[in-house]
Amino acid sequence: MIRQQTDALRGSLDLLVLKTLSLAPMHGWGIGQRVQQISQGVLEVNQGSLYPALQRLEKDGLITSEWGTTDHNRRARYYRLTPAGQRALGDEVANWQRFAAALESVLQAG
Amino acid sequence: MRFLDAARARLRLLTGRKAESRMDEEFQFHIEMETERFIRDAGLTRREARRRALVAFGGVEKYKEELRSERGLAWLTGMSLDFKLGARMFVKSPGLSIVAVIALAVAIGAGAGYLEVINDLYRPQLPFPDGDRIVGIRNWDAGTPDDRAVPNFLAWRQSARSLTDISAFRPFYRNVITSNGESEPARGAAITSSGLRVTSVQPALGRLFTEAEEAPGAEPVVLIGHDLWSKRFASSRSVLGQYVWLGKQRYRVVGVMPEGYGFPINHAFWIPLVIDGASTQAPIKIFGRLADGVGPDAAQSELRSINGSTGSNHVPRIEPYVSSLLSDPEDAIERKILYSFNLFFVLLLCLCGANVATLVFARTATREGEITLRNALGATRARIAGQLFVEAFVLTLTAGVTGLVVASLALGGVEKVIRGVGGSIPFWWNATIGPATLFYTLLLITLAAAIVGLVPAIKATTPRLQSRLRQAAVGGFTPKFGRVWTGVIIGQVAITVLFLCALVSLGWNFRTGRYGAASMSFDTGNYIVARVEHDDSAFSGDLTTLEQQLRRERWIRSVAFTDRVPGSDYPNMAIEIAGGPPVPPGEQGHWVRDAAVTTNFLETLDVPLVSGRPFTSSDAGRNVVIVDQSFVTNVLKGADPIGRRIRQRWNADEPELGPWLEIVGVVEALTVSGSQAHRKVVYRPTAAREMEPVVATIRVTDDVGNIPARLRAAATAVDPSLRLTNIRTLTEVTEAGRRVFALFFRLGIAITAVALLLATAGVYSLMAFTVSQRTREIGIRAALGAAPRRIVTSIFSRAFKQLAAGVVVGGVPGVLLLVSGAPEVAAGAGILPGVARFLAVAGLMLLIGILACVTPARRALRIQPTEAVKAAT
Repeated sequence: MIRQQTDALRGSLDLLVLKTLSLAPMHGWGIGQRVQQISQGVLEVNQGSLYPALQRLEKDGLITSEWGTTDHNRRARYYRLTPAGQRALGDEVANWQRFAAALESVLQAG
Repeated sequence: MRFLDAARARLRLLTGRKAESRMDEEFQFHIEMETERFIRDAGLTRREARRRALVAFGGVEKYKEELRSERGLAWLTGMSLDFKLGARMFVKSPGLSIVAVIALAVAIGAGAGYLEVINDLYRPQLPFPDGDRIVGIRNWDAGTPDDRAVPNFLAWRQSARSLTDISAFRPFYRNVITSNGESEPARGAAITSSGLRVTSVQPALGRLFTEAEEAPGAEPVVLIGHDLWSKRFASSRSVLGQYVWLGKQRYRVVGVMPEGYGFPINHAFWIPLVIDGASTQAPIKIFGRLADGVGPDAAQSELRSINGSTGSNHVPRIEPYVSSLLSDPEDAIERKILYSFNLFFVLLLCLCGANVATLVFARTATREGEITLRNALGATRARIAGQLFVEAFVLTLTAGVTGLVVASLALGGVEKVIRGVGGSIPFWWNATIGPATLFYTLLLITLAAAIVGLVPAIKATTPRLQSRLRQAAVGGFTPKFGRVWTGVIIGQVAITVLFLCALVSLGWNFRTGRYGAASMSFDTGNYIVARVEHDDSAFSGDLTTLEQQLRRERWIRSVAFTDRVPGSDYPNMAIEIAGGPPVPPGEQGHWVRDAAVTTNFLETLDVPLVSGRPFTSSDAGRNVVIVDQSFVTNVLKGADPIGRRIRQRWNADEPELGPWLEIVGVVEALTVSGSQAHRKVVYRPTAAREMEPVVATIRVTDDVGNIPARLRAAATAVDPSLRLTNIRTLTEVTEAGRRVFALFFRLGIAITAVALLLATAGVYSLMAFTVSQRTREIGIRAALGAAPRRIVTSIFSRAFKQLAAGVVVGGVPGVLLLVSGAPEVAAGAGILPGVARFLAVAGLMLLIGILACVTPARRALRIQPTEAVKAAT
């Protein structure tokens, strides 16, 4: 079960990051915590692998980052969505929904 | 916008140090946050919470590497580590490093040095501000350059806008005669006043010419060079305004050029180029400076249109300055051939690189376990090959730097040698290595690293990972010295044998006098030779007056003239002999040497008369000749020559048959060794004024000082336009020839020594590798009681076979070289001496190969059975 979740998550990590950042800018640790929180513990992001994904998305111009301060006065790197990232998120959500619908159709078929 | 955002992000990420620091800080923050969460939510101690946080994160270094790979700069961090490893391997294997550096330094240094020489000859950087804007201009007429371009030059100078300071010069030689009567010839240039402005160099003293001084009838003025000023005027500042004689014309000194200045080529003094009606057909060299913003094509088009408007059919071309000085279009072909010789040095590098690669392969093979393990842990073949390439690059870089240093020193030495024999160097020549050569050297270094590093790496990282892992587990080594390496070792030995044979052949012939400079049959110390030249239109006499003037000196016994330095190569001539022997089939005639000499030449040199009579003074221009003994032996086969008649047969240069010439005497050969010993010389009595060139041979009685100055003073007293150059004793002439040969011989020894070193190292490596590979087997055989002799024989039989194969392969051309080049064969004494020399070379090579096996053999015999078996398990 956990292995299947990990495989499914790896393919959709970018989508989860973009969606999380669409809600509010966040640092890397916070993104992982938020995904876990919103999915009620079902989706647990592999913490280390988050950062290569963040770097990749930043290189592609979908997110941007800058140093900020947390509530506890700690220095952290905050990521936020760019307009291009917003558009990409819309496209990825639409793709995902089409994929999920197709998968659902197959599973429901007699 | 997305593109800009992405570009900015990439730029930030590429800044290595900042990106690393950011990565560290982010990870640290993450792990601290996770640690606090474990403390808060699970009530763990700080230590345990941190441990769990690190586990939850995953491999920190692994993700750092992944981030670096994403940035595309992981290779950079890896490479700096590889360089450190390469340096460590360099120090750890001193024997291999020294052999490899020496071998590759020779190849890289030779290639770099050669390219620097050729570039300095054909594509130099002129040492002036914007020197690359100074160009040559030549008129071409149907594929041939035509330097008779005075009318074109005048039209271009008047009308062209694409070039500034269009100038011309004409080189010439003159005796430079100072007020104290001293005379010495020097090379000068008649040049337009704009010509010296082109270089933007100001005189060290005085001034440049003015345009008014170029006008016909203006006062003759001269600029002198620094060497002339220091040598003839003791660097006195009062030289300005003094007068010197250039041949028969007096000039006033108006300036001194700075040290090292030799523009347009290597000139010692400059006078204004006067263009008058008489000189419009004389050749000139034209050059100029491209105007700002104008390219060569645009300038060329403008000059063509000017030519067209003046009715000239010539096609002007803008050329690099140095190229335009080449007078012969065939020089351009020669230039291409000389540049293509670089291929030889590239092949030499490939050869040395292949040899060094066998040594590196042997070393790489001992690291098989390490390489296999790294492969299994995820290192790609490319990554490992890259590391081995960088290790090889450290080696070849060291060799390249060493080679460059040696090449630079050698270039300085070449300059000294040229100046030492009286030659002159173009002003643009320098012994420093230029940027083009540095770049070429880097290419050679990289090529060498690819051969030395990549080829062994590819062999050592074959895709069969499972079998390599198994082999590594049981202590075996999978890489073998296969067919390729066997071929390389055999090739090494073969080439070494060939080099040794060539060296022995060359050295033996030099020792017996067959090659190299001639040895004369008389005492050469009492003879001076000098080339006699004169200013074309100024000299109207014949050389009899010069001979009489010289003979008035009490220390001169006699003076004769000939058209070559005695003992050097006289021109070839094909003759027929009245009444036979017949001309050999396929030949134009009997090939002999034709020497034009004055009637007292043989008497001056005290050449003994063998039969017949000597020349008399009335023989000059008559149809009589004297031949030497080698002519009688080799052409007439010993028959009595007196009274026989010979004549020159036709050839491409001489389309008509010569007159019949009667042999009136026979003398001994002038040379007793050197290839000239078989030259078959025919001496023709000729008046000095009909010779070209003219060489004076002067017999002296006393050892007086400063002979060149005395001779020149005597010649100047006869006619100031008479120049005596290249004044040397005959001993110096033969010694110079010997020195040149000795230089090439030493170079041959150096190259052969490198080949021998490589071959020895190759055989040693093969043996050391074999012992390492078969340690267990040797130990078991020793434990079972095998005799040491049998162990050594079985282990080293392969090496002996490869050694013997190399000697045979190299020996086939080697023995032909030694036999065909043997002086005994040339003298008809058979081939046995040549064969004996080859057997000595082959024996030496086998002995050296066996000596290379001694250390590995002793190591093999010292292997303890118990240790060998333990090490294998």
